[in-house]
Amino acid sequence: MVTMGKSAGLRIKWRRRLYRLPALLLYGLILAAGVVVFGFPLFWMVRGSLINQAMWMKQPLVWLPPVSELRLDAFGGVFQSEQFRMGRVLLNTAMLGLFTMVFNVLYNCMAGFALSKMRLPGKGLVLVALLATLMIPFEGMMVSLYLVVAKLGLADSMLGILLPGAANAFGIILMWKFFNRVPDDLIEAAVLDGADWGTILFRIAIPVAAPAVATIAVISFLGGWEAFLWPMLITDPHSRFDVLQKVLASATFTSMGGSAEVEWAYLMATALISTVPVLVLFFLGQRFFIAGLTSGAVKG
Amino acid sequence: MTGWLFLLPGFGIICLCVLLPAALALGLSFTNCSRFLTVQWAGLDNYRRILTDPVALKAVGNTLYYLALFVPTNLALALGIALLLNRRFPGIKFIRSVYFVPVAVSGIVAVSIFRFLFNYDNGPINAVISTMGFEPVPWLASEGWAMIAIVMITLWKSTAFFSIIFLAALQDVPQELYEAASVDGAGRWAKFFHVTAPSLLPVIMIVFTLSAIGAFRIFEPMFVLTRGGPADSTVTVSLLAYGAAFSSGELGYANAISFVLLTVILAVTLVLNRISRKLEARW
Amino acid sequence: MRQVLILYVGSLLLMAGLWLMGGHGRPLATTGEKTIEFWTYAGGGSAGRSTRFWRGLADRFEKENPGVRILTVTDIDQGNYVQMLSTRVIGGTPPDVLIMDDNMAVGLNEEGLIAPLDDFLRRDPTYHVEDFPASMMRDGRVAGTQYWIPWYGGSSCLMYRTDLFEQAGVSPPRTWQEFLDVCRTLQAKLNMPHPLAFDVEVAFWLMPWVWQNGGEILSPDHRKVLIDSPEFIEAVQFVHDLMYQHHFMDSGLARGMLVKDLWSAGKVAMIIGGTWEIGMMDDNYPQWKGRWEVAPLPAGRLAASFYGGQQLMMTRKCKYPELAWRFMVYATRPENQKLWTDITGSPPANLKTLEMTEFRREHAHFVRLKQAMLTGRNNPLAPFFAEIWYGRFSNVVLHRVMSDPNGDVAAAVREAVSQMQKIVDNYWASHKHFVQGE
Repeated sequence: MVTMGKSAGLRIKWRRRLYRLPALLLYGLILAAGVVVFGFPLFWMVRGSLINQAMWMKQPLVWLPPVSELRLDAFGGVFQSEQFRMGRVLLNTAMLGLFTMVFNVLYNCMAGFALSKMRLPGKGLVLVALLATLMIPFEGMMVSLYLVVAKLGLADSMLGILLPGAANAFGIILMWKFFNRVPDDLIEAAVLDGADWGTILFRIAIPVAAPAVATIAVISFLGGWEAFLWPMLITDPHSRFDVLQKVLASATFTSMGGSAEVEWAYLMATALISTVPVLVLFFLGQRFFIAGLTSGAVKG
Repeated sequence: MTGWLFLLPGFGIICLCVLLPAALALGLSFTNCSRFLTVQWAGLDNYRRILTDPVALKAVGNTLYYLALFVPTNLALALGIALLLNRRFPGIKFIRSVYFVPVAVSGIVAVSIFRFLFNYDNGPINAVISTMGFEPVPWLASEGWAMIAIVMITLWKSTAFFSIIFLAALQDVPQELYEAASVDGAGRWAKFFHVTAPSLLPVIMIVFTLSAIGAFRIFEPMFVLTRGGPADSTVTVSLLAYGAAFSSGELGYANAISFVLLTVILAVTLVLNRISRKLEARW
Repeated sequence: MRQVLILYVGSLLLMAGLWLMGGHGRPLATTGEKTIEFWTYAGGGSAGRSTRFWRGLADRFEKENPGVRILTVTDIDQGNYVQMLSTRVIGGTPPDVLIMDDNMAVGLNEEGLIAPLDDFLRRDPTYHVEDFPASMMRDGRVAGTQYWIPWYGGSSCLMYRTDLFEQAGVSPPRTWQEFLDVCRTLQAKLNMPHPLAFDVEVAFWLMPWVWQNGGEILSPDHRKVLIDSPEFIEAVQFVHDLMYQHHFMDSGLARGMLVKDLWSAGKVAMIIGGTWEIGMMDDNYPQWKGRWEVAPLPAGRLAASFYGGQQLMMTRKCKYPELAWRFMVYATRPENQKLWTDITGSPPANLKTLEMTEFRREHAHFVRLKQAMLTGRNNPLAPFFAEIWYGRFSNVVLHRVMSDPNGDVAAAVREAVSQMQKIVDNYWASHKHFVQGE
């Protein structure tokens, strides 16, 4: 083997690095461009929520307003505002997220477990029905779903908003697949020991399938938190059950109606309030996010 | 029987809130149903109308246009971004989080913010375009550009989301395959084509399928931003169904449109599934 | 199993709890209270003001009528209004009293949503039909039965700069000939190349010209398209000439230039606008405060201008129709209509309001246009009108001819007629006879 002096080796290393410089520069540029493109709306929201209406309207645009112009009014204002009603709306959205999560975890686990491990006459049909459900686009069925829910007397109510999302075919199938991986002998042993199905589910199966359960929890919470179309459809205008996305959309519609009746800072503050918990959840639950997305999508 | 006890709540909700409405939609699609729920048998009239009504045909055309613009671009960009982010150097974690912002931001927030950005008079996008020497574009007010603006918005949100999936898949590719390829003398491009791409094939197919389904269903951006305008250039099939139900009060027609959409999605999914399986077998 | 059953029951209890939180598409009323649900939309410009007015009115009505609650829903944007209304209709719980733009409401009226008011009109001595402009009243009738009562109507009018007119020594024109003369004088005396402006690409502004020349868009039974009459073509040609023969208007107006920009920059002395804009004029253009005025449109062979707007109506499913009617009458009283104008800047429909001394003092602009309220008329109220007029006609005639100095008006109009007639015929093939405004 040809041996090289240390300095000679270093020189070669740097020369190679130098050759790669243009490629590296290009890489850096593209990466930076991406950061700007993807991160810009976050910057826009933060900037927008901290300035007043006059600064919003100012031409030409002041990208970085001086610190003296920044104020936290908007974050308090959205709670007082008749248009945004942040107190009530935030509560509704949090409730929707929380309860959607609770119901989803509970019902999807139970259903998935039943499909996987319990005796179920008609299991095949149920599975086919569930798979078919995955294909049904919500936008297509929302008219008839509205009819069903309205005729049940659940229009403009918390329960009406919650119910369609309380169980999820994707969730059931995910749990079914994960429970399938729980070895049958484990179950049989427990049955022989005299354990009832409830115990088996909670003491044995769920701990094994914990990642899937966590995934469902995260995804269903987010589903409730970010829900727009269904709540908008089922609730009255200016309903006391409004959720964040509906209030945001209403404010956007109003702003498009030609009247400058929207406090832009309030809109941005609301947008931030709706976004930040998701960002936080992502950082905390990164693993579950990605696991859920990939396992559901890929291994599905 | 305890099996059914466990199954009941979850499956019951699905039956009540998905299967029942779907059956109802199918039934209503063969009728003329008004806002007041007065029902009258109409046979295949609604379905025939979809084939002949110029607005319906425009909606189908717009949806396919959206599909053609969105799906390949989404795939390419998401993959590209994933490759871009698949490095290890200090700060990559932070950069990845910034790239995640579009996923955290809700659809409505994205649309709301982009409305500013696309503003003809004082939006930053036109400002940048002007400084580059081009004519500012009337984006959402223009028949030709409105759909393109919407594609840009949905791409912004979508590529970030799918790039996460690709990134996870990329990191799943076993290192040994790359090492083996290096030993065989493969350069960077060869490695991509012979190691990365084949390993990613199932994921690519899934991303392709999911974005195609999403594209067929696309509703929110048009609903909030353009309402199908200008001049019906952003009316998609979902928006058409919504309008038929809630603006014109033609529930039968609306449900027929929904059912056609459902069938198309089903067919496309099955076809893509089969293609995916064949490709996997070959590679 | 215990845990499962506990969770089962627990989740059911949770659902019951959520159910008890209320809602269900109808406002929860305390026992003994009669509720009326009232809807209006936030139409261009003053969402907050409209809310303030209606809430104030509802509060006063509630005070005068104990045991009554008026639920006011006032912030739905115009674009979403019909759809939100539809969802409630589909759900079986429509609101009780509604305000709708007349064009918006035709289709819903045809479907039978709106309750006839003849009985109330006959029995209530406090509501006087003659207090309201006849054309708006007629708009609310179908085959002689009254379904709507007027809430507010806007008319198209001339808006001009008083200082510039004084400088040029002219006064607002009253006939087409005077109109041409005034424009010519403004051009010469003010050194203003294009003293006039209006949105030539928007079919709406063409209607008064057409009517003033004796032309019509549709036959009275709404079955025949009449735009190929010589009077109609002549009127469109007149407008075309204003731009390309006399050069009174900047041809950029046919290519996206906005009237408001020209007015704001002081580049024009006279524009055609509507009384619905009067309330916002000083807010939008503070630089011209005190230096502008309105006048009726000049007359052609006859005097005509657009007049139409929002109508008040009641739905058939209303639980307390007598109460709803009383609320509607209360709202349209002269003093409440004055408050409407005070708060929102929109014109009143009640002619008695125009006679109030305070009103005459505070809102002189509207009084000046009283004649337009009396002689004005609405576009044909048919569900297909928007499609034929703002769709076919605009695309085929306006967008093509108005941007072309040598545009052939007659040819374009003849091409549009067949397309428009087809749409009209299609409609009548599948609908029973129903003509709004008979």
